[in-house]
Amino acid sequence: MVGLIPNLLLKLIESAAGPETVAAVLRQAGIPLERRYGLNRVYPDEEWQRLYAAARDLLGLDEDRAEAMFAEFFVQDALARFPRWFQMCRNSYEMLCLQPKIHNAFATGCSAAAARRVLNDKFRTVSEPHRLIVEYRSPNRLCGLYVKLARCIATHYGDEVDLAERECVKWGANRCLIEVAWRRLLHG
Amino acid sequence: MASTHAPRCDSADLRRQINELADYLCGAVQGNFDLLAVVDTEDEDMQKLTMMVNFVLESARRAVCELQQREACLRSVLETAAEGILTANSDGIIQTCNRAAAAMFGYEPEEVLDRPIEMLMPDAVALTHRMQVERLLAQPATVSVPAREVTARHQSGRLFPISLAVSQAETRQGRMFTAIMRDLTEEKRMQCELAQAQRLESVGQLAAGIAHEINTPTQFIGDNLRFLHEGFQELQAIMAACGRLVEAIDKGAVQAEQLRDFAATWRGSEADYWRREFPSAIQQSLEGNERVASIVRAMKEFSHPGVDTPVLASLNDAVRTTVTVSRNEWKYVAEVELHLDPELPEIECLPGPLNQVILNLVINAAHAIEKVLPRASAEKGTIHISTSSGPDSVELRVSDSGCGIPPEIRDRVFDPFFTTKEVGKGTGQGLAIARNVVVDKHGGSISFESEVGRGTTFVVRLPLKQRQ
Ligand code: HEM
Ligand SMILES: Nc1ncnc2c1ncn2[C@@H]1O[C@H](COP(=O)(O)OP(=O)(O)OP(=O)(O)O)[C@@H](O)[C@H]1O
Ligand SMILES: [Mg+2]
Repeated sequence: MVGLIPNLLLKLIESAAGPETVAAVLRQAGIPLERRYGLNRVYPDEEWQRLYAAARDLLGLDEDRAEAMFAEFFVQDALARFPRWFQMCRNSYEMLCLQPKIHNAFATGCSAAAARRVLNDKFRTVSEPHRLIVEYRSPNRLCGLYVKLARCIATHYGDEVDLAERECVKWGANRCLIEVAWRRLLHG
Repeated sequence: MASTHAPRCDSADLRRQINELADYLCGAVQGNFDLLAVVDTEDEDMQKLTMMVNFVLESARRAVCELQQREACLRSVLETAAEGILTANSDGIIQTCNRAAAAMFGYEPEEVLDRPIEMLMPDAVALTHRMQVERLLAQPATVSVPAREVTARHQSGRLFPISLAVSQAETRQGRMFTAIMRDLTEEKRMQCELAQAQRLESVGQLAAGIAHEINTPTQFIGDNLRFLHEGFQELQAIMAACGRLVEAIDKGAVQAEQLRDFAATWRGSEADYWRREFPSAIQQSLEGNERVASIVRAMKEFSHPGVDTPVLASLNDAVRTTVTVSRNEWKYVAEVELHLDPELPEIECLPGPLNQVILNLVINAAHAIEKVLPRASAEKGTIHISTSSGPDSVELRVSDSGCGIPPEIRDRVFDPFFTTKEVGKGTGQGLAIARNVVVDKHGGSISFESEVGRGTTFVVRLPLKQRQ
């Protein structure tokens, strides 16, 4: 997992519950307190999984709530940190088409060459007019986060989407299939 | 206390990190894309920048890799291509040359690189070559020169035929020419062998007809000999009577009895009849014999053992020979009229292949006539063959009163294996070989005029002398 994600999670915890909770989460997850997640460094997926579980536990959030909160926080940060990528897209359809490329840019951009292959190709999309089928494969099982993020992105651009998960690893499938269908695009 | 706020870097730190990143980019300037930036920084913006720099470096590395792979792939295609492929710039300097091209000309690839393309041409071609390049340069880069036959020069000085196609492209170094070449030496040799084989084959095919041609005179020679034999037996009786009479005269005692006996023998014979008939029987036999002899001669002439170098020969003789050996192929459908110029000069030629050309034209004429004759009729068409001479060439015309060549197939009749005839009757090689012999082997020309329903005339022009 690229450091940006745990980095943001810790920031979210700090803003919601203060630095003591950040320390408690790290401690419960068995992660050294002085850990600084670099945006462009790669950390073991299990570490992220422990961190995320501890955060939900200590904040008393179910999966759904946690994902929603994190998605909201994540998009605000992305908008501030990577405004250019949002400007390049006229609407949420274009942004979701660009998303796998953005992720691959992170994978390609991290200096640890070995980690690259693992990160690459977590997402594959098939785009049709007004429709996108996303295939997601990851031990982190964050398909729910994808759905919430996609909705935030649509809201940001003023578009209306229908989101449905067709297949899910949580139901025993070997990958998640998410279908995004646009009812309305504000621009284009 | 865990804090998510990264400690702020001071400006000296930042300067150091920026320089570190710049160093990585310097590596890229030298084409080293393998090194990715590992800038140890707690500054998140710096991390973002490092990530993007690495992304760009890595993308460049992949692009370069892919280009190299594609180039290697292209190079191996070039190297393993059976065709000779070389490129030259607009000054005619050879830029690349694959193994096949170099080998074709007897060089190693390095020996031709950076040298003028004219080194691969005979002097005569090299002289006008620059002009042709200029002409091509004046045209848009999309114009290409389709494959055609040209003469090339081997490193040893030997000239040899190649097929050459040229295309051009606009590159950053200006116009670039690509030549694709194939050595035609072997192909030509095969064509030659094919033609020779066809000639032998047609002697084989003609054999049945020739046997028939020989059979007729042989038969009446036999009849005449039997007739003469019969006559001779009667003559023997008369001669015996004569002998007896002469004996008596010698003894000086000829008796009336003996004279009566002789007169009876004489009257009993058909001496008068024999006297009248013998000369023509003998004459006919001699003619028949001459006929057989001339067919045998023609056969020998026709299958003339292949000579590689031109010899002086008479086109008129070639026509007569061919018409003779092929008689059985045309005599049921056509009369052959010969109008051979008695003043026709001999020409430098390859007599064997030339006979083959005439034969192919005559047989085509006969087939064309056969097509328009009503079935089982005694009617015949005409094949008119004439020769004439010009200042430096001779001309052969073979006209028929046959079906004619429909306009839609006119530009294909010379193509190898183009035929409209049923299986067994034609293989479509006749005119292809004729063209090869006339144009390629003799530097002559072959063309035709045709009117559907009226007939066709093939015109063959041959130079008096062969260029060396
Ligand atoms: C500027 C926009 C975005 C940035 C900078 C960004 C960045 C990242 C990064 C760095 C990761 C960690 C990747 C890894 O370690 O495999 C990640 C994970 C993820 N992102 Fe994004 N992302 C962006 C937009 C989106 C959008 C629009 C979606 C969904 C609609 C999305 C869904 C996800 C999910 C589901 C993961 C978890 C992947 C996993 O580890 O299983 N992201 N993102
Ligand atoms: N004198 C002619 N009149 C009409 N058509 C002709 C004549 N000569 C040639 N052709 C046409 O051209 C075709 C090609 O002729 P060519 O002699 O090359 O092959 P072919 O006669 O069909 O077969 P092959 O000569 O190999 O036995 C013929 O099939 C015929 O259609
Ligand atoms: Mg023919």
